Amino acid sequence: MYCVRCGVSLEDGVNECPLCGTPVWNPENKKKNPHYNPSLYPVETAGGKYTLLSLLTAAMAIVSLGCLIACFSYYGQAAWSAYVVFSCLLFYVVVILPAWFGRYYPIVFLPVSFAAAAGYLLFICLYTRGKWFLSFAFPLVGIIFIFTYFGYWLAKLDLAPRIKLRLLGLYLILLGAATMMIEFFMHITFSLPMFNWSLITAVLFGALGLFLFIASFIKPLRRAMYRKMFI
Amino acid sequence: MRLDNAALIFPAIRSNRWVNTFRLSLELTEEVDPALLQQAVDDLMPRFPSFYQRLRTGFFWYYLEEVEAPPKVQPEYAYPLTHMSKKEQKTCCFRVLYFEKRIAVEFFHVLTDGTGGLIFLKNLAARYLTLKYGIRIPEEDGIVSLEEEPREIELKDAFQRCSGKFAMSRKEATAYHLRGRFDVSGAMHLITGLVETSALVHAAKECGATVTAFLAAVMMDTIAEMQNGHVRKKRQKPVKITVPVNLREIFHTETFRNFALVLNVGVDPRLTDYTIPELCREYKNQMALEAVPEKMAARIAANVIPQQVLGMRIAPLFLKNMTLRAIYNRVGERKGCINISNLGRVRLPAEMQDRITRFDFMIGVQISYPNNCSVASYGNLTSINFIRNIYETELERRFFTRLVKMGIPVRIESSEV
Repeated sequence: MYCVRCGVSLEDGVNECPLCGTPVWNPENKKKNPHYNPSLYPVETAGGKYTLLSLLTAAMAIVSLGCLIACFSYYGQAAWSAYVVFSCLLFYVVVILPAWFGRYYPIVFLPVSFAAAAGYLLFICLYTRGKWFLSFAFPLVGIIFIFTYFGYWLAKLDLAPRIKLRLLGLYLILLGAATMMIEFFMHITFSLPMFNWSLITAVLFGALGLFLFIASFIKPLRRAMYRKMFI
Repeated sequence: MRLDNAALIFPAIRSNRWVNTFRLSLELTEEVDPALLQQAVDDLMPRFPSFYQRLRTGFFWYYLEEVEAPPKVQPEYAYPLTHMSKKEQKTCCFRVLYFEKRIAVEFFHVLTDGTGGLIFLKNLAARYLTLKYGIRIPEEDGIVSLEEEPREIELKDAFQRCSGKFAMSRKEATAYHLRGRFDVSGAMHLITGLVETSALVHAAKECGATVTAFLAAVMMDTIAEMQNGHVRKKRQKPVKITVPVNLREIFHTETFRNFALVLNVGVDPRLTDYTIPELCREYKNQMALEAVPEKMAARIAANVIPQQVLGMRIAPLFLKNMTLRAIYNRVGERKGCINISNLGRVRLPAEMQDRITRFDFMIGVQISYPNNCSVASYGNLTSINFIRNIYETELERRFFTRLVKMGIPVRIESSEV
């Protein structure tokens, strides 16, 4: 028996060509694979995951709802239960939502996660009548987000090693600068002393970044580093 | 037992869904008797101690520990190369399966490579046939005497001995990658093409090449054609085939453990549209240039020297794993489009030949390649096994159709219903 499309010879008893899927007309089809036993193939392994996720979703919904009802019946308003609800929401968006998908898509999930974190902090700030969101929490989340995102792309992009090393150097220098920015925001929000610890981190990151940046221009050094440390 | 140099990478890059395994199987003329097969597996244990090992996790490294009892033979229970879980790796790093007339052994790659695995399977079959028919099988063509003690050279990590003093850079251009819709069930689908060895050798000779070179050339041509369909000529990437080289022949050693190294052989399709004889020539030339003892020693050194760096040795296991994974992602799989692992012609003593009808060799898919190809010939039958974890069969279809068009009859089998 031959496949009319591929021209390959097929076994007796197959319904279609395994290569191109062209149906094979065969009146004596036995429908049994003589080589393997596909009836014993394990069932889809992903099934367990979805059940677990559904259960977790349901559990979190029940907990949040229960807390809200308890809180309302006691205080007549959402007092402490608001924290529970928003924490559940944050956890859901950051951990469980991405797990529904087959793989983690950082390009979508990272911004969503950070937005959720910012939203959560905004809620706490408003709820406690604090004045630290715009001047501290928001920039902090923003800075961490930007560095995570660019760090991801830096690791992911297929660039020449020397360019990558150069970018990594710049990244570290900027990271050092960012720590100073964070301390600056702390200073204006909480009136803490200016540039206390961040100078150390900035100098450390800056020196390391500068070293990598310069090393990226010197071929022998780069080679030696790669051989010794796989950088 | 310490892991050999090549085996270091496999536990480091394994995951809950993927592990580097390969499978060797043979077909007998009669149905397999499980009790006798179990007896054969038990009998081989003292002679092949490097196989009866399980993988353990230490604080600084993974290590192999001898199993207390030989593994139980099992009926084939799922698709070929079913995922070997971490739990199973902790029990024994290989499994023996049987199905009707077939005996199959699936190895975790930490134990051995294809050649070592083949020696084990041959001896297993020899022992089984001796138990079943009472025949005496001479010690030739890889069959060893079970009364003897294992030789030291068989158990040693040959990489350490053959490593050069200078390491060669692993730098290479990144190759084109095949893609497809990933099968979420994790099943590996198999398509086997059975070809007459004489027809294949004849076709290869017409191109002035060996069978491996010919198959690699056909594969390169197939992948280049697929790339033409997806990518503009200007933006195309090199088409490269990863070919494992058996170092035992180059360094004259008889270790049973891992002793192979991969070479990436390929062409840049932007230069010209290569014909198959031209691709064969490219393969031959590149192999002649690379597969020489000096360069191989330097390639081994690139893997062995980092292993000896003090900083690497005292680092805890999870740091080692992270480093190895990062290196593997950078220089491991990205450099080739697909593996072609040719075990070559399997030779057996005359006493076994009329009781064994067929040999098959399969390697599992890599982490990021969806396809893999492995070849073994026995007698006048060459089986070309394509394994994949995607739904599409485009590569297989184009490859086998090409062989058919060149006048080589192909018979197709698959693991599907």
